[in-house]
Amino acid sequence: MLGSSTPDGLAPLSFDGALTIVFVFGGLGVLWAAWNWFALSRISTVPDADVISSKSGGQDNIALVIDIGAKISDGAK
Amino acid sequence: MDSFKSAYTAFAFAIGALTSMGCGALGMLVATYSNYRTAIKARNSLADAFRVAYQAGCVMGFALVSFGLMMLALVIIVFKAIKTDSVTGHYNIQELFESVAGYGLGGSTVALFARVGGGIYTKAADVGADLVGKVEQNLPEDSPKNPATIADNVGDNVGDVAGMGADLFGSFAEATCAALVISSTNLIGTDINGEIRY
Repeated sequence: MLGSSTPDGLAPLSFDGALTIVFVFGGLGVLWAAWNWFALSRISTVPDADVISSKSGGQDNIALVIDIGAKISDGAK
Repeated sequence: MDSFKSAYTAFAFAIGALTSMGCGALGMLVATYSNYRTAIKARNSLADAFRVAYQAGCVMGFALVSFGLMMLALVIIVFKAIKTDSVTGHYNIQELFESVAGYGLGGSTVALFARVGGGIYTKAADVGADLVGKVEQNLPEDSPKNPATIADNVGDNVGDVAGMGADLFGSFAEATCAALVISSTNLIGTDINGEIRY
């Protein structure tokens, strides 16, 4: 037991019990991260029509950055 | 016997270093995956962009802390199984957690090199990009028309994203291992030899 007795009479926590709590919270964290990753993956990676048209005009740096980012992310897949 | 103790610490150090590298790589993957999605959303709504950025932060933060926590628990389980006397079922808890402390040291060492290495690289790329873009070509800061901006952004990715991820893991692992070592020195519930039987 982690602490054979407690002053307030609570039952001491066993080593395996503590590890179970660690794995439960760790698993919940992984699940939450996976859910957010799933939400990110559902976002369309195709820029809107106005973004593409402004990029072709050569005047919108943000559109160019988005285009570069899309290529980098596609390469990462 | 002492050399065996050192071997356990070295093994935990290697596991911590590898986990820290994985956390840095995960951070870079999430950043490149979500940055331009945030930029796309920002063209329509600031709230949508904030939501995407927050989700990306959740992926990196929760994943690396959860992986770090579970790897640490795994190391403790393995070391406990190795160090437990098969006959008496006893083991020295202080010796166990002193070996596990190598996990935090490994994570912090990789975090240090990730931050410093990335910082040096990004500063060099930043200076080069500014000299070429601002001084010679009169381009604005971080202009996509300047190829050196890409090198600057890669440096930012290594130093600020991978370094931050590894640093977050390193701080977390070190603090946890320090708490384990301190708690193992508390002799309440132990016998005269400092051993606990479960």
